[in-house]
Amino acid sequence: MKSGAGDDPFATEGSEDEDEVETDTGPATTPGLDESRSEREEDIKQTSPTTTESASELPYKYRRDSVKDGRTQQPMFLQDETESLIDETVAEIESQFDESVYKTDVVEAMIVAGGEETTPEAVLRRWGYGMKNS
Amino acid sequence: MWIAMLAFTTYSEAGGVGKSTLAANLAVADAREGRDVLVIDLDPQEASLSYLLDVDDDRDDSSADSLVRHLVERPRGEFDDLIRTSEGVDVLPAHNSLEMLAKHLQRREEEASDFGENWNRNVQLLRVLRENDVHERYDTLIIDPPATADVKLYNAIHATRSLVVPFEPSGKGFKSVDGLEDLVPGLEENLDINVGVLGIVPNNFSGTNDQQDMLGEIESKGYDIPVVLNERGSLFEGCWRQQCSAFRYVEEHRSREREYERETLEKLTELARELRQTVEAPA
Repeated sequence: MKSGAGDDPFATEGSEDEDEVETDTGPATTPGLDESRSEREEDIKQTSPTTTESASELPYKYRRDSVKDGRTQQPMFLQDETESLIDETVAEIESQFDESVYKTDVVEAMIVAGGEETTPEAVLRRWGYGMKNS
Repeated sequence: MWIAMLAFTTYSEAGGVGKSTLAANLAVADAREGRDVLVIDLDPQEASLSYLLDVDDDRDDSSADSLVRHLVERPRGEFDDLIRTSEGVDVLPAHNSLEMLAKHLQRREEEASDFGENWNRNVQLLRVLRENDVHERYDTLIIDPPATADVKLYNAIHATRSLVVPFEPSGKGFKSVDGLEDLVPGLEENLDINVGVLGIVPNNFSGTNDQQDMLGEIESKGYDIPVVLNERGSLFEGCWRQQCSAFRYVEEHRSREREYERETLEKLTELARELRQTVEAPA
């Protein structure tokens, strides 16, 4: 704290925007998760014969920089039973794929699977999950 | 040259030191200079700035849109429709639902967290103001939160980064300047911001030796005391009774001009001018 004016909270320089992102200190994605994801990404690039240079051909999971990329936030009103079902599905899929999955991915996969009459696992595989052990 | 908007929060640890009175009068002083001024009242108590400027009639309408709804991303209408005008000042009035703001923000933060998203309850006011281009449309932004240290105060400080601190020169008032030094460094660290004190404004000053010593001590801590407001009980009480600024009160509700009241108006004008200079002058 000092005498005089503080920061300009409305400054639009990039540095300020980065500050903004950093101030969002809510309990969300753990850094560990991100790290292991990018490590896996490296693995895929090095070992998979089908890997191409073009990022657009990578599965969604490996194309994005964060779980929010390519998504818009939609408020959802869920019944308690549905929330429990989501949590159970996350746990089930994590053990099946033997890797961490984002709840955000699972929720959307459940919706897509319902619409496509397939399974959340199939949708998540299409997005790039489960490649580690396949 | 592009000049940044003057933005500050009126802060005091203790209530009843003329915080809202000062905020309202500084807003009117700037509007009288031809500036576009927005004041945001975050105080859910009935006797808040919205009452003083007579724009508080929707505060208990629970069906009305309110700032609280915008802060948790559940707006019911346009931000601009929340704004009322009084004495040339745009006011975003307080709403009773502000009392529950901490709970609403906490719920929203938990919901976001469940979906793996970052969402910080203390930075939402700045988000709303930015989304609505407040910094491009106004020359002055004044936020008047309640004295209690909670999400309302934190959001206000995060959105303005600068403080104006009304100060009652008494033992209790002096302690509240210490309280400021306890609160702000923690906030700066948690929210990764730098906060500045534009000025400390002694109010209700009667000039005793004790009071003089206190001003000296504040200045020795490095704070600026742009003006000292003397005891003006009847003028400020009149403002609350007539629900108007001191400027309008003297113009419309006093049958004769009182020299000491004119002097107080001049000091308010001078304070507003000095505050404007903090953004106009190169830092």
